[in-house]
Formats: sequence, C-alpha cells, structure tokens
Amino acid sequence: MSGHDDHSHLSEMDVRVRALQSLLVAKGYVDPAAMDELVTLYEHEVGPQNGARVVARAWCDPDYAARLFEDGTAAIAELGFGGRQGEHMVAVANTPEVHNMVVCTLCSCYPWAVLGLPPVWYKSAPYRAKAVADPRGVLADFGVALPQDTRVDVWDSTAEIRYLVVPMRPEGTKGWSEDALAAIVTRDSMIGTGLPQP
Amino acid sequence: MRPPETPAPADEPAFAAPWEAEAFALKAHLVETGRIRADEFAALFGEALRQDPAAADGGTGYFVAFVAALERAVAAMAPPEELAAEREAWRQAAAATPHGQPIVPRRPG
Repeated sequence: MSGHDDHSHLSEMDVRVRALQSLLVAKGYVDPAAMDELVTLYEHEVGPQNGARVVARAWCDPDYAARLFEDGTAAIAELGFGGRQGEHMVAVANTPEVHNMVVCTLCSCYPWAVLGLPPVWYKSAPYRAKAVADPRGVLADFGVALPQDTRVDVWDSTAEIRYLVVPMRPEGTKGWSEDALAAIVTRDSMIGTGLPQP
Repeated sequence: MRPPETPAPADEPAFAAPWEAEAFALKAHLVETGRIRADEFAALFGEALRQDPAAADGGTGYFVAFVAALERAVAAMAPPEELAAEREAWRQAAAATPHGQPIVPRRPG
C-alpha cells in the first residue's frame, strides 16, 4: 500500500502493463477502443456478481447487514471476496433520505474485488468532474430520477478506502431467494449510478 | 413481480486485480489482430511459468509470468529500452499526480 501519500500510486505491475499498453497504442499496434471492449468483456469474469452476493445477503440477513455497515472489509471477506492489497471496504446504505454515489480517478480506486474492472465511463474525466459538481445531473444521464427530497452523497474513493453502495431492496421482492435477489443487483446500482433491476 | 429464473453466477473471480485483466485483454487483442501468434505466446508463457515458482498457484504470480511473456512477445514492436522509458514516464506521472486527477504520462523523446 502507498501509506498516506497524497499522490497517486501505481503498483509495479500496473506500471508494466500500462507501459506495454500505452507504447503499443502510441505506435499504432493497438486500437484503444477495441481494448476497452475486451476489458468490458473480462469485467464479467472478475465479477460485479461478487458485490451482488454481498448486497443480497445484506437484504436477507439483518445481522449480516449490521456487520457489513460496521466493518465492510470483514463482512465482505466472510463471503470469500477481498483484495490482496489490504484496501478497506466501506459499505454505504441507500435509504429513502440518502442516495449514495461513488467516484474516483484512474489509479484503480474502485472496489474491484466486489465489482470487477471499472467501466470506461467511471474512469472518464467527465464522470469524475460531473459526479462531484452535479450528481443529480449524472443520475439523470443514467436515467435515474430520485425524489426531490432525497439527498445525494458522493463518496470519493482513495487508495485506502473503497466504497460499495448497498441499494434499497425493491418493493415486491419479499420472499425471494438470495440467488434471485443477487440477480437483480446491477453493477451500476452498487456504484450508485443505477438502481436494482427487477 | 417474479424472481428471475437464473441465479447470479457465483464463480471465483478470474482476476485478482485490474492489471491482470488488462494484460489478458491486451494479449487477446494482439492475437486477434494478428500482431502476435497465439502459439508463440503460449511457448513464451510456458517458459515464464516454468521459470517462476510463484506462478504455480494460478493467482497473481501466474499473471506476472503472463506479463513477462507478453513483454517478450512484443519485443519487436516495443523494444525493451523503449518500454523501460515508458514505464519510467508512468511512474513519474503517478508520483506527480495529486489524488483525484487522472494520471497521464508524458511520452519520452
């Protein structure tokens, strides 16, 4: 880990892979758009399904939910998910009063152990800027309309702390199994730019 | 409202860090576009795996070997000295970038 430095941190392997990629792009051997497509594909291998299990468990098991909001890292590790770099995971709960949204920068500050690779838009400058300046505008871009009296909290991830949004359990899902619930928890709903999709 | 038919998959994550998936995607792209040959890469990768005992667990060490093989496979397109300069540019860019800003390397030369 990078300690509490205020500059960005790249691991040596991050540096090696980025250098390979950027040099091959600069020389015209690699098409960055095609690379992005492939990364999106692999994202499904890493798995927002991990985060979806965490959310579904929290919806079904109040004791688990209490542990999750108390110590996200430990509660997520209970389900067998976690990074190897010791990042702290913090779960933030959406309620009728508060909607949470997560943002960060290029330096991998994304809860990839539970969400997989960050989508391209998450790394984009427009999202990073607008998420802070105009979160409701971002939500509108994603087709999410919240009640006017719901507050929007934006959480800026760091190298040390990664946030996972726990969306509200949708109406009409009473009695659903944990598997069925996990299936409706989208990646974007755990970043806070979407809602679960029953 | 009814629950969906198919439960969400609960597989082990294939990658432990984004760079692993990015390296994987980069190799797939280079093979797809004919820049490197799959069998030649496989030979280099096999050699790298044999040379590094840490690669045996199939986890991060596996991908370290993967990246080492990829660096060799693209040596004609990205010579080692240029790659070293590019890495240094990324390190300097990261060190000079306050958290919250995108890291953009300055290309050497």
